[in-house]
Amino acid sequence: MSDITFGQYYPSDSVLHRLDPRFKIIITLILVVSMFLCNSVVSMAFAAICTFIFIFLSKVPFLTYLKNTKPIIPVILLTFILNLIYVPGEHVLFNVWKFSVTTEAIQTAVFIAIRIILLVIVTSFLTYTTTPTALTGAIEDLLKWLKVFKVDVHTMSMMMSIALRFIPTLIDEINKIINAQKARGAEFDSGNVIKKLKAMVPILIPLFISSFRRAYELANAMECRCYNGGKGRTKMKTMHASLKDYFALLIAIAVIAGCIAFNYIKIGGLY
Amino acid sequence: MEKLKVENLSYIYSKGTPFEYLALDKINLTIFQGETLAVIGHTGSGKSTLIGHLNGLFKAQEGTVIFEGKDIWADKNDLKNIRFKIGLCFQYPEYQLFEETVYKDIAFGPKNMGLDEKEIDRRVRQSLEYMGLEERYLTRSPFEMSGGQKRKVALAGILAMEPDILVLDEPTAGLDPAARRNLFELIQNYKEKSGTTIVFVSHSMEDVAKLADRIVVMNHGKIEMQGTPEKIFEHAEHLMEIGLSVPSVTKIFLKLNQSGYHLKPVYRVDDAVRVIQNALGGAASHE
Repeated sequence: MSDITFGQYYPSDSVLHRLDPRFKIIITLILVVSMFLCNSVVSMAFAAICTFIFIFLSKVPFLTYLKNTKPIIPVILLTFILNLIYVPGEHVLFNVWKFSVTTEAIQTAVFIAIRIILLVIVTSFLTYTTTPTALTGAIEDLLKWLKVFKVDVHTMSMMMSIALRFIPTLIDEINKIINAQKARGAEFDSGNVIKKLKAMVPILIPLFISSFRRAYELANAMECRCYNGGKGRTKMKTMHASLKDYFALLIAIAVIAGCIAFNYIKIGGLY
Repeated sequence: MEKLKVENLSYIYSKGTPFEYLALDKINLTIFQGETLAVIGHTGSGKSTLIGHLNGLFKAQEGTVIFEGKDIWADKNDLKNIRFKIGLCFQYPEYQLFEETVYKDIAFGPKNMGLDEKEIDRRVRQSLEYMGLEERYLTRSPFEMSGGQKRKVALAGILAMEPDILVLDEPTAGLDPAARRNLFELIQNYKEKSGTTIVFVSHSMEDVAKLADRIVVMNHGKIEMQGTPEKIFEHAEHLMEIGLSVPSVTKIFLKLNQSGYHLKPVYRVDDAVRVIQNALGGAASHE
């Protein structure tokens, strides 16, 4: 349970940490799109190099990023194998049972694997360098225009920040309950699937009960402070865009432009 | 006789991240058969982490925990049996209740031990009695009981495993004074009847003075002092320095002595009564 790092803030004092979270969201989106746009070896290499520069700039250890990639290794392997056997091509290298592996298939498979890894790293930038509260604040701000369509952006972002806020609390709680039941001899990792599911009951019921209790307590605490939604509510920390944010945005645009441009440079027989 | 021994135990939370935190720093501790040992220390001094190591819920990063002469981690398959022998009851144990009836919840531990129905039934009724609850509660849902009753049911669930050592992490936290007194009486009574070795964590110096044969004082992941209550509560100032306290009655006696009396330091109310009566009965030494 404790190695879920996705969406965990990594405190540090880097350029990326200090950027305006709204800009960071837009920049991340641009970077994600650029990862999808690279189709040639050169442009993929360019994207990878840019990603490594960002890793360096974020002052978050490389290993921490790798930890985030670990849970999706099965996905990468699966897509790799599927691409290997299903992508059609002309240059057949060898045949395995009914499938033929082609040069094109190998290239596509490798590309997609690299692309998935880069995507995870790029999205991790955002969550590692931005606190959850800043993130939801930024989302609220970016989606303000939805109010025109009668979407209650404030409530949605409040729910999201509460949910994010309670993830660590719930993980703590789960660990406590697991330990308490283990102390009574409960076993969670033995037996078949049905036995394992049954073993979850002593964890899930106490967890549900305490979640409801927490929800009531929080609702009461909010009402005691006269919370009545987003109307007329001001923020303690207002976000200000500065020169460096626009500069960062420019770099992101340069990356996407680079990825598109490098698509036209071909090396040897590779596309 | 040595029952449980902790040797050179160290534990670091979130090792290798910026959140790294040294919770235990080379702890050495021996728990003897039949004693009642109190662990005191301010919040974050490592008490709960230490307790989690005693029955192998935490794996020692350094050092060993030895139960009856055997490293508890020597045979991983045997760890489950160790947990039945060292019954651990966490803070706010009522949050671990999950069954439909009180009976089933108390029976959870014994059932995991693989005992037969008859033995389980005996143990459920026996531990319910230890906790001073009537049999009519057995068919109720634990969720419709009061907070204090839930706590007792949860504790009964641990007692039903009939552990050699009962480890309690702040058993009376969050209870009102009457319920506190009641629960401590029940624990004391259980101890007298079963002779179980008890280790308990508490923030109440009164409770510690009343129950403990020996006290371990923890501070910043280290054992600051250990000894009998008389010995420990002699160091009132040192205890206050590390964010702890001494029983109120000890404080009063310290004040009395500061204002010129020469009274023997005490830490229990009934001792205090005796000392004062002696002092008043002619032997008063007011200057």
